[in-house]
Amino acid sequence: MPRLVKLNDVWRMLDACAAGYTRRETDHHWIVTFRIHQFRSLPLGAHGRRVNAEIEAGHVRAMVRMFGLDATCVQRHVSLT
Amino acid sequence: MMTDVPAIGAKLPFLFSYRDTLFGNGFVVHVEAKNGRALCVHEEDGWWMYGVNPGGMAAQGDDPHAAHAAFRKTFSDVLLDIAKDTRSFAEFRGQVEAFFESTNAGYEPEWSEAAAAVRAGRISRDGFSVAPADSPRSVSVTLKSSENVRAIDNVAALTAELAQAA
Repeated sequence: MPRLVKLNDVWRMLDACAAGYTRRETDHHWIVTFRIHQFRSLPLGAHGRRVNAEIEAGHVRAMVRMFGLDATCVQRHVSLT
Repeated sequence: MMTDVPAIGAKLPFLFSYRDTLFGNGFVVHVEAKNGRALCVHEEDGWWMYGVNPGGMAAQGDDPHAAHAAFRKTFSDVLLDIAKDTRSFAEFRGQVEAFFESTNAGYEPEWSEAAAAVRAGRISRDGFSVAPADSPRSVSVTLKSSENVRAIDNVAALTAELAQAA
């Protein structure tokens, strides 16, 4: 079973670990931009637009790697493994 | 050849080529992506396909084939988002090129190491062909006129080629 994380925890993590990031909702995904990087496929949630949706942790792992975020900072807010 | 279930942490380096035809705002467009790079990893929570180029996407499945199928759909969904967001063909093409060339540097070294392992015969996976790791990567975005739209374009989104990089 894929590990799930709450989107609100992901936003809190980005607030703390990726200051200045921006996010935008599209029909299919969240687009998250940090510095020169853009992650285009963060899911909206299992059932589309929901309050505090949960998403599969692997998407966040990929985004964290792309953005080069500090692992210790990330782990304080979300459990990805 | 690897025939049993690979251990957690197993990594497979892939090259993928996709063709999509879709509607933009005032245009029909054909996108042909060749030799994108993705790393498929057997994580504790399933098989994950992480984009290297394009870097800004990932997808999950119960096995490498399922992870790739989800990755293929995500790629098309990103193109649809770009088509909705852009007002001209030039803007669409620019955003698709930027998306496809984006790199996830966090996975690039592991992709290269895994490709070297395939090349050396240390890892392989049945069911996938093998292609040179340095196969040229490109994306072409072209306008289609109504005269050269074909019924076969309706199934273009289902076309995908996948090979292990070596």
